[in-house]
This record gives sequence, C-alpha cells and structure tokens, in this order.
Amino acid sequence: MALSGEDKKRRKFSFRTYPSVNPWLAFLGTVPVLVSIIVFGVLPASLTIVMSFTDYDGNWATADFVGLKNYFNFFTVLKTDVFSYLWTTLKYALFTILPLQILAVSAALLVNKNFFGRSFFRSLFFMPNILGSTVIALVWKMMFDPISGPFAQMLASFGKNSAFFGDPDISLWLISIVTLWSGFGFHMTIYLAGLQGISREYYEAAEIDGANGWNRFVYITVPLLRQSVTICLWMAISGTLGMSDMVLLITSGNYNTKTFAFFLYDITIKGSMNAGQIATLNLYYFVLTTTIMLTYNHFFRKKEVEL
Amino acid sequence: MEIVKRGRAVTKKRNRRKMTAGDIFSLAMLIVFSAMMLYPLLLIVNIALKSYKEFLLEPLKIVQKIRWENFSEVWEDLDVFHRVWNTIYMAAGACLLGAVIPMLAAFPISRNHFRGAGKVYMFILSSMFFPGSLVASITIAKALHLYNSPIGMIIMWGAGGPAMNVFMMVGFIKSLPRDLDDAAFIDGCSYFRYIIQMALPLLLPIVSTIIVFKAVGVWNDFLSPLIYLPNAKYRTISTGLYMFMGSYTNEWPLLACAIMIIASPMVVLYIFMQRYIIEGMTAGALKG
Repeated sequence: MALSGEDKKRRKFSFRTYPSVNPWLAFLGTVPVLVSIIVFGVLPASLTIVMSFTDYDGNWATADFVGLKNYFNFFTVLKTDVFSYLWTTLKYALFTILPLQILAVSAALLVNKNFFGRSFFRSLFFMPNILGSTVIALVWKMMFDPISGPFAQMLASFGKNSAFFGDPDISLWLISIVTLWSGFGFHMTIYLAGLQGISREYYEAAEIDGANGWNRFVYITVPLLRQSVTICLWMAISGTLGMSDMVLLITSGNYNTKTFAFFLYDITIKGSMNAGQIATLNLYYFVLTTTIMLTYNHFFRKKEVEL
Repeated sequence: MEIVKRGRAVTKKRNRRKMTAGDIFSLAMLIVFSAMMLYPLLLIVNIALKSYKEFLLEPLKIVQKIRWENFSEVWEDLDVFHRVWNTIYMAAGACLLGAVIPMLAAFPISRNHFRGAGKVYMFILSSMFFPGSLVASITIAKALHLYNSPIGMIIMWGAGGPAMNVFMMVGFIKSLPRDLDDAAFIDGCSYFRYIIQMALPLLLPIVSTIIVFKAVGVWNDFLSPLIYLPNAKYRTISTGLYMFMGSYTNEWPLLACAIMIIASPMVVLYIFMQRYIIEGMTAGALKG
C-alpha cells in the first residue's frame, strides 16, 4: 500500500525517466550547453533581427524604429554594390568548388594505391590544414610577390610582369588557387575514407568482366563515392560562401576581391553603415545561404535515396 | 602445395609488370603534387635564412650565407614568447571548456535521463541554423564584458557552437552498452561520480577528437582574436603574425622567418601526431 502512494508521487514528478537517476542533476548537466546556446546563439539571432528594424548605431537611447526601411535599402540604395559583391562570391565559388573536388578525388585515387610511403603523401597533402590562414596567406604572398616571387621571376625571364594579387583581373583567381592548395588535402581525406569503404570485390568482378580502368572509375567508384561527394560539396559550398579571412589577409578586399562575407565583415569593423543596416544585410545573406544549402540538401538527399 | 606456390609466383610477376606499365603516370603525378605542396614551404625556409641584401639580389637561389640574426630579431620584435604563451593558455582553456560542456550534456541526453531530453536535444541541434551577425555578437560580447579579455575569448571559443560536439558525443554514447550505467547505479554510484569515473574513460576517444579539433581551430583562428582582442598585449600567434606583416611589408627574410617560427610548433606536433590530428579534424565531416 505504501508503494502505491509512492507510485502516485512518482507520476506527479514526471520529470523522472530512470528510477535511479536524479533528473534534476541530469538536467543540470545540460544547463551549460543551454546557457552557451542562449548567449552565443539565441541572443545574437534575436538581437540581429531586432537591430534590423532600427537605425541603432551603438546607442539604444538614440535608436529609432524604422520599419522595413533597411530591408528596402537592399534593393534601392545598396543595389549595385551588394550585387557586385554577390557576383564576386559566385565567381570565387565557381572557380573553387569544382576544381577542389577534381583535385581532391585525383589525389585520393593516387594515394589510395598500395605502395611504400603512401601515408607520407597523405599527411603532406593534409598539412596546410594545420598551418592556419595567416601562415598560408603569407606563404602565398611570397609565392606571388610581384618582384622576387618565383612566378614573377619566371615571367621576368620571358620579359613580362604582373602584379598578381594586385591585379584586379586575376586577384580573385589567385585567391582561389590558394584555397585549392590549402583545402584539397582535407577533401582528399574524406574521399579516401569513401574509397576505402568500397569493397574490392566490385573491382575484381568488373575486371573479370573486362571493364577498363576508366569504366571501373565511372561505374563503380563514382556512384559509390556519392556520399563523400555530398559531404565535400557541402563543405566546399558553405566554406566558399563564408570565406572572408583569406581576402582580408591577402588583398584586404581591394582589387575586385570583395566577397560578400568579407563585405559584411568590413562594414562591421569599419562601421561604415549603421548597425541596423548591417544586421539587415546579414539576415539577407543568411536567408540566401540557407536557401542554397537547403536546396542542395533536398536535391542530394533525393539522389541518395534513389540509389 | 606446389600449385599454390606457382600460382602465387605468377600473380606476383603479373602485378609487378602492371606496376611498371600503369603506375609511372600516377607516381609522376604524386611527385608533381608533392612538389606543389613542398615548394612554397621550402621557399619560405630558404628565404628565412637569407640577409635582406642577398634576398634582393637572388631571391630564389639556395642560401649562400645564413644570417641567424633574422631569428633573434623576429623573436624580439614579434615577442614570440608572449604570442605563443597567449595562444597556448587560451587554447587550453577553450579546449577544456569545449570538451567538458558538451560532455556533461551528452550523457543525460543520449540516455534520456530526464523527461524532455529529446526536446532539449532538438533545441541544441537547431542552434546550428540560427542566423547571426558580427555586429550583434560584438555588441553582446561588449555588454557581457567578454570583449578585449582573454577570459572572454576563452569562453567564446570554448562555449561557442557546442551543437556539433554534442551531436558527435551523443552518437558515440548511444553506441556504448547501457548495462554499464545500470550496474553503476545499482551499486549506488552518485551521478557526478558516475560521469567522472564511468563515463569519462569511455568517452576518451571522442573527447580527444573534439579537443584536437578545437585546439587546431583555436590555434589557427585569426578573425576571432583580431575582432575580440584588440589589445596588443593579448595578441595570439596568428594576429601577432598579421600585425608583423603590416609593419614589415616587403622585408621578406624577416617575414619568412616569422612564418617559420610561428608555424614550426604545429608542424612538429603534426609530424608526431598526424594520425590523431587528421582523424580529429575530419571526424566532424565524416560522422556528420
């Protein structure tokens, strides 16, 4: 009888799921994560949205509610600038994403073979990932130094010269090259994991059937690598859309290299617009990137189910 | 027996013949790739040893007369000791926070230790898709006195964006047998003792992965300290190098030397722990 009373009590405190665990203590464990998400996730998100309806500029006392003005400015006052930066981002993405995958897959195929010293090559290709963007940017500024860099010296021997990162026509492409150099090792590692998950038997069967190397690659490797491709493309797309540090380090946004992410960083640091306007631009870019990523996800998930 | 032996011998021979035929190309490609990776780094080492005069005359030739003073000059001017110390203690703090915070949450969530754990988990995961802006983050950091303070930087690095780590840990814990926790609780183990004595040792692989990821990320992070730690006293290696770059625009021997000094600890660590570092850095992508 005493038990049934306790049972009732337990039903009342429905927080408990495990008879032997104090649910409050367990919940206490999640509090730090929740606090950090509220402080570094919910708070910035809501503040950004609130700011976007005001002309806040560092002082709430003088800030006014301006309605949708900031949102309309995007299409009127800021139109030409904003779209040129989006165009730069798109160019950078187009030039980076696909070559990155091609480089990474070919490197993965090369390293996947069984030979002496393959782990050396694997670690060598991965190494830029531990160097950090400052070091990488400086190394490549040296490589493309317009006077003493190896490329400049090479051109000089043909009697030509170039400003490299200082040339608005090619600067963005050169930044892409730096991204390729520093990024393909990471993608290669993911493709390598995918390659090693493919059973040898497929290749053996195909070889018996007389498929040549190219056919084996197209009809076995590529379809079975689809999951790795999905991951890598996802990372490449989100990486290029958010890239700002290399631009800051290499050209500081000059010479036609202002990507949208860098533009957002730049106006924030320089304070060249009021914070409300900056918040609005951030929200627009968030909507744009999220739409791209969701579309991508939808498209590729579907493909994966089909397989 | 003999047949088997002969068979093996034949395949071996065939393999060897195939190697010479097809793989010369891939070997050549590998060498090209490696040269592409190594040349910029070797170039930097070469330049770092030159005097400015020698660099101007022969920027690419192998160094003739090594100028060791480059290192001492950079060491003093960049204040390498303080830059490295700043980075080390901030990275250590961030790693500690970044490992402990998700760990405390991951166990109750994956074991459903309280009602509504699933909803809390969904909330945590959804935080990966919150909008945000640098303006708002800076405003909040200033309001909470996290701006321009190393402790604040540690908190922002360690506590920021825990969703991915919680996700990885929850996935890992779900693969551990439940009988262990039952046994512990039946024996009367208290909750925190259980987390520390039972859960932590089991979680070590995933905790080390998360720590490696965090450590490399923080060590190389350039934008966050540039934005949140403007005081010169608190510069880390990456922002220190950036400022150094600003004041020695074209003195490449000194710049190259600074690059070498800044990059070498990580490279040495990488040489010895490459497997763990590669694993730790790609785990998020491979499991997510």
